[in-house]
Amino acid sequence: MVKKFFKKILIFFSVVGPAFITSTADNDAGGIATYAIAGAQEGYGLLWALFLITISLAVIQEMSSRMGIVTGQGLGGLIREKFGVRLTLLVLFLLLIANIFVTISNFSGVAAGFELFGIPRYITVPICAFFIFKTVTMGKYSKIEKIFLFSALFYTSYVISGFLAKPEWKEVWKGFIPSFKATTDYIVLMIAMIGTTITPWMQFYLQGSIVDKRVKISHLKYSTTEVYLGSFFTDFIAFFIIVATSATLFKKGIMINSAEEAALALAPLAGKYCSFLFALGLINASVLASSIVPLSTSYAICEAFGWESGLDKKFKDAPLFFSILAGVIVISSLIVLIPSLSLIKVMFISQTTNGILLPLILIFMLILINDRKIMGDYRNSFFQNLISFVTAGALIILTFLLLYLGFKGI
Amino acid sequence: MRFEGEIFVSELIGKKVVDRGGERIGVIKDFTASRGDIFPVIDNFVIKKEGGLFLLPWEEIELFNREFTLCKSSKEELKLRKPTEEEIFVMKDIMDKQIVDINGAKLVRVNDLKIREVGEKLCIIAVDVGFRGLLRRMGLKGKGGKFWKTLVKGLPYDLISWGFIQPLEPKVTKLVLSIPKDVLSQQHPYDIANILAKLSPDEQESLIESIGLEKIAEALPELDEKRQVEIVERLEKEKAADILEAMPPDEAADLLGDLSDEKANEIMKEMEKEVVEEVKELLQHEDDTAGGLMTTEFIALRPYMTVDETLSFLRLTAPEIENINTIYIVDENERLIGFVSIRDLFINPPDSPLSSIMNQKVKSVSPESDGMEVAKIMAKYNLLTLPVVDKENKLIGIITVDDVLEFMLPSIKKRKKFQ
Repeated sequence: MVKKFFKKILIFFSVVGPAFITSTADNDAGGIATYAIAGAQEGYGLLWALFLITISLAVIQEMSSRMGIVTGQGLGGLIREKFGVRLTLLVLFLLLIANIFVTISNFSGVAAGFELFGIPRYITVPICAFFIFKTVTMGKYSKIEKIFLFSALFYTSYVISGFLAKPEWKEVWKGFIPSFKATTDYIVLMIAMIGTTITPWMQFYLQGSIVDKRVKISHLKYSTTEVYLGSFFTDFIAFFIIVATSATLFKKGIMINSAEEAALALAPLAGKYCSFLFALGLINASVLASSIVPLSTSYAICEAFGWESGLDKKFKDAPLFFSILAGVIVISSLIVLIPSLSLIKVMFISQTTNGILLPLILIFMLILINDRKIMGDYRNSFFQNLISFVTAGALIILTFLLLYLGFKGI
Repeated sequence: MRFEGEIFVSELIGKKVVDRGGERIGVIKDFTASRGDIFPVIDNFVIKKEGGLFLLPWEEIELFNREFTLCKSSKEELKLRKPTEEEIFVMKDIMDKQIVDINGAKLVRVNDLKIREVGEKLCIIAVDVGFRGLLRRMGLKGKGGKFWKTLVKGLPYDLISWGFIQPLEPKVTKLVLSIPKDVLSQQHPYDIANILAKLSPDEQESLIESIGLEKIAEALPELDEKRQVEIVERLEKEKAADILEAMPPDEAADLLGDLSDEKANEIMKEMEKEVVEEVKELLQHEDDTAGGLMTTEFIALRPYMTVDETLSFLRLTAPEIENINTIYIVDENERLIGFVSIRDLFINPPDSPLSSIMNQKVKSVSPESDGMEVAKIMAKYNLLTLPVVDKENKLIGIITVDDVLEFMLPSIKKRKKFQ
C-alpha cells in the first residue's frame, strides 16, 4: 500500500516541470502589477474573481497538456496541420508581436525592480538580457528546466510579504463572496486580471514543454494533477500579492499604478522587509518570464514552419531558431531602454494583441481537442466540453469587452 | 501532353474546371494520389461543385494550366464519384505535414509540392520546404512592389526530390517505394537516432516500420538511456523483442536493465532463448564493472586452426559480430591461452596454425574488476579489446574500447548525436 503510494509520488515528480513553470512564469511583471493594483484599488473585493480565474486556468491548461501528451506535437504544429499555412502565419505573427510586448513589459519589470535598489536600468537590462540568452542557450532543456523550477521558489517571497502586511484574515475570507461593482475601473481591473493570467504564450509554452518532456500517455493523470496544482500555485501567489497591497495601501487609500510603486508604498506601512521581498519577487518573476516567453516564441514558430529547433543544437544547424530567440530578447531589451517609453502604451498594445489572439487560440484548441483523427479516445467528453466552452466563451466575451473599453479609453 | 513543364500544387487549388463546351463544373480543391513506378501518381482532381466534393479522374482531363482545367467530355456525360475515406489526399494528408529529408537527415515541413507529367501520368516529383513555397501558398509570390519582387527573387530554392523524403503519416508512407528507405538506411545511425528522438509516438512507429528493425537496432544505442526506454516501452513486445535481438548483446542488456522489470520480462519472453541467456548473464553485472561493460559477442578459436581456415571462418561470421579486431585462442575447456590480431592473419602464410603465430602474453580482467581499472589496463597496453575471464580463466566476454570511452566520458554519448 505504502510502496504503491510512493511509486505514484515518484512518477508524479518525473512529470513535474512544464505546468509548474508555466504557472509560475504566468505571474510575470504584468501579472504582479495587475494584482498589486487590484489589491490597492479594490481591497479584497476581487478575490472571488481570482477563484474563478483559477478554475478557468486549470481547465484551459489541462487541454494544452492533454494535447501535448496525446499528439506529441506542439500547438504551432497542430495548428499548421489542421488549419493550413495562412491561418498559421496569422496566428504566429500575432504571437510574435504579442510576445515581444510581453517580454518588453518583463524587461521593464527587471529595470524597475533593480531601480528600487538604486541600480540604473542602463546597467541591469543589458546584463540581464545577456545573462538570459547565455543561460537559456547553454545546453539541454532539462538542465534549464531545473533552474526555472528553482526560480519558482522565490515566489514564496510574496507569501511572506503577504503575512508581513498583517492582514485581518476575517476580512480576507469575505473577499471570496462574489460581489460586483458596476464601475468601469472595477470591470477593467477584473478583465485585466483574466488577461494577465490566461495568456496565448502560455498555451504554446505548456504544450511544447510537455512534448519535450515526453510524458507517457499512461501518465496523463499525473500531468493533469500537476496542471491543477500549478494553477492553484499561480493564484495562491496572486492571492498573497492582493492581500499584501489590500491590507496596507487599500486601507490607507493609497493609489498605485505599477508594481514598483507598490513596493515603494509598502515600505512605510509594512516595513522595509516587506517592500524588499516584494521588489525581489518582481525581479525574479520578470527574469523568469523574459527567459521563457522568447524561448516559447521561437519554438512555436520553428515547429510550425518546419525549421530546425532545439537548445541543444549549434547555431549553424538551427540558425532561425536562435535568431528568433535572440531577436525577441534584444529587441525587447532595447525598447525598454528608450528614455521616453510610455509603459502604459506598452501594456495597452500587449493587452490588445493578446486580446485578439486569445479567442483565436481558444477556438483552435477546442476544434483540435474534439478532432477524432488527432485526439482519438482522448477527445473532450461532453462534460469537459461543457466546462471548456463556457470558460472559453466567457473569456472571449470579456476579452472583447476589454478591447472595447481599451480603445474607448484611448 | 496535358501540361508542359512543371507546376506547383498550390497554383492549381481554387482554379476552375470546365467541360468540353467551356461550361463551368466546379473548382479544384484537392488531389488524390497513389503509388507509381518512381513517383506518386495523381489519379484524380478533387473538385468542389454543388453536392460536395467529387473525383475527376486524370483520364477525363484534356488539358490544364494555371488558369483552368478542361475536361474531355461534356457536363452531362461526366459521371463523377465521391471520394472515400481510404483515398490519399494531397492537400489533406501530405501538405503541411512533417517529413524526413533523408539527405540532410532532418525533419522539415511540406510547404508545397511540385508536379509534372511523366509519361502519360501526372506525378508528384518534389517537395518544396523553403520560403518560396510558403509565399506561394499564401499567394504572396509575384505580387507587390519592385522591392518585394527582388527580395523574393533572391530566395533560395528548397526543393527535395520525392526520392529523398520519408513521409511519417502511416497513410502516406504507402506512396513511397523502397528506394528512399535504402537511402535512409544508409544514413549514419546517429542521424537516424536523431530523427527518431524528435518524432511523436505514431511517427516513430511509422519510421520503424519503414526502415526496418535492424537499422533501428543500430540507431537505438546512439540515444541516451531515457529516450531508448521511452521508445521501447511504447513498442509491441514482439517488435521490441526483435529489435533487442538484433542489437549487440551488451547494448541489449543495458537497455533491458533500464526498462521496468515488468516490461523487461515481457519482452524477454518473446526473445530467442539463446539471446536471452547471454543477455541475462550480462544483466547480472553492475554497470560500472568489467562484467557490465563487456559484450558476449566475440571470436574464440582453437589453436590448431590455420590462418586460411580462420579467414574463411571470419568471412562467414564477421557480419554478425561487432568486433573482429582480435581473435582469441582458447583450449578445449574454453580457457584463454592467447590471441591473434587481424593484422597477424594477413602477414602470416595461410597454412600456419594459429598456435604458431599467437601472442601468449594476453591481458585479461575478471567480471568484478572496476571500470576504471579496465580503462587503465587498456590505455597502458594500447588495447582495442580486453578479454574478461572467470575464476577458471574461461573466456566469458570482451570489452571494446568504445564502451570504455563511453563509460569514461558519459557526456560523449549525449553530445555526439547532435553533430
